[in-house]
Amino acid sequence: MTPGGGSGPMKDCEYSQISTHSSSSPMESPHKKKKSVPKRKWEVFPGRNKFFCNGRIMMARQTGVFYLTLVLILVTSGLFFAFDCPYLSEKITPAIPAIGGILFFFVMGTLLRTSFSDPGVLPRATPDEAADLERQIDIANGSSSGGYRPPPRTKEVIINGQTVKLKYCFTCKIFRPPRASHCSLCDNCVERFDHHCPWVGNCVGKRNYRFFYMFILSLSFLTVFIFAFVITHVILRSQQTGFLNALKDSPARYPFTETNSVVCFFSVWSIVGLSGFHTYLISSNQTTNEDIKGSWSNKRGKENYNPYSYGNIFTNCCAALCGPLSPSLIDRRGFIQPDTPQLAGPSNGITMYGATQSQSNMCDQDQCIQSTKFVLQAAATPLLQSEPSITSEELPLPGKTSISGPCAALTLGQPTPPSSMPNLTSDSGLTDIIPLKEEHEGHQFLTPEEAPSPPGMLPSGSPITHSHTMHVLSLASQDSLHEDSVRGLVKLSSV
Amino acid sequence: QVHSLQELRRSASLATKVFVQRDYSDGTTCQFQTKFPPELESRIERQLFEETVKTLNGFYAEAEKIGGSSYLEGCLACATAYFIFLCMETHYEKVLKKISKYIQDQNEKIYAPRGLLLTDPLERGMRVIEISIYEDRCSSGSSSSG
Repeated sequence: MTPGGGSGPMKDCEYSQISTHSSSSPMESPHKKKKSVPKRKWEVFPGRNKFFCNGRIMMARQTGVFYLTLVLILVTSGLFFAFDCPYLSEKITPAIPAIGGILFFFVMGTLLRTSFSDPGVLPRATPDEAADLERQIDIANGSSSGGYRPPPRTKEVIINGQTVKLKYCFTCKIFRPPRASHCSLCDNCVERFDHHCPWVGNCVGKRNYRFFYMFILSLSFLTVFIFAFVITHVILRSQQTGFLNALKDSPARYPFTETNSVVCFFSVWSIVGLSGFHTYLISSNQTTNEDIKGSWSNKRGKENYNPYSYGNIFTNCCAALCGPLSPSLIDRRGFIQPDTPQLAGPSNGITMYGATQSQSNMCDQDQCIQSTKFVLQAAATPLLQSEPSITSEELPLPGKTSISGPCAALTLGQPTPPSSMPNLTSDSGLTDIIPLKEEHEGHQFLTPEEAPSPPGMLPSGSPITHSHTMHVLSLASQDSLHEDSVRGLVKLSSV
Repeated sequence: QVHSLQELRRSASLATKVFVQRDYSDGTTCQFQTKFPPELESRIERQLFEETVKTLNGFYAEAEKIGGSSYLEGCLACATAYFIFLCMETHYEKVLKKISKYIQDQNEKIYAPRGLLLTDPLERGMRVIEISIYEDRCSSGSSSSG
């Protein structure tokens, strides 16, 4: 029987799907699989972040304290508007609740912006980048002993006359840009890393620093505002009716007013203090990180002056608060393209990124399957990209080395991606697959273009084939990736 | 051999990739090194490559420029509690679109005919300009390993 063109008998047969996991639930058909919802990049993001609203909102993993912040602000403001404002707007002016309202919306807006936006996360290096960097480092250092982690790699650059050391991040496999730092809570490198703030449930970095600053500034105004007018309220009432009477008159209000005052009193000191500290940081163009480490001295003429400062306070402030807002580099809502990483085009980057991230998320066995998928997609993509009318005669045999470069590289036993994930199981997985094809040369396997599923119609005389297939399949976890690789396997092994 | 962008996808196999790193000598602004990578020696004229990188650097400098218009944008955004970003595109984003168009243009006119391909740095976290070098499949007997 010839695969590819499709002969009569094959078309008429019904093929049952191979159960690829023990629970024997049917796999989706390849047609449906090809059109199934492609994953967005946030779903395979390697950092420890939580995403909401289909990738639009990004937060740290621990968000409990953020909810506390929300509750505190809402309750305090709510009590103020409910109990103090009616009296004050009557007695003094209705502008008080108006201003209070504006402040409140500003606080909430900036808080949500700070918490939900990307602080400036740097995406992890693609495998090719990582390999290139490793190569350059090895050239620079000479060979290091295997298995032993070499001393931290640094690169020195001169910025505005100041020598700055760039550190190599082992997690993200990049040299961190100046002022970037790796947040251990979120497991990301963040540009212009300030600090990780549990109160807003996110890191504070380049992209959301101005929102953070506006938040604490407006919050200090709000707390001072509420505190002042709550006190005013009590004073006015006590003037009217005497202090004790004032408290007696409104027994329901008394605990709330008191609570409000207490909360505000403590908040005022901490929030105002924090605002003052960050105002200082902005005016000298430093991050909290740098200030804590004492990286730069403030005095002019000293050796370690701050190379990022613009020289005067006004410019520093304007640059931090009103400067251009750089875009998010992690493209949370983009789709992971099923193209091979090797093929040309702007989608290349997206592919590599998505594939890298999905790889780094998996355990060894899954990495095996994932790298298998790379190989197969590398071979299969010329078919996928063109119309389905391309027959499998065009499909190169895996034994031949004329498959596109990385594919052949894999069959030669190099792990994929190179060096950043030395994974012996990937080699063994591949060498398992290739002999499978060569051993059972005579057996017919259908291409997925013809059969809606991997062949259930394995010839009865090939229990070994079946078990071999099952062996490969048993390596896989119960996700859709191994289904792709099985289909790819089938494609490759068709003659 | 002369390739078109589409032909590259079908007939060429990826030989290697070259990475043009960032140049931090001016601070944290986005600039790329104009040093000519030795791997491109035989593929493209030095002057064309440097021209491309310099133009890209110019674009990024324009995007990150701190001046009157950026202050205005920043103040306006602050005044609206940053809600204006929901409807308006920032200046940076506009320049990024220009950059993307420029890169595609360069790829079609200059790089693809020489078997090279530029990747937009935005897709690499603004860390590198990735240049993919392709070998023509029919010209090399066996595939080249990456």
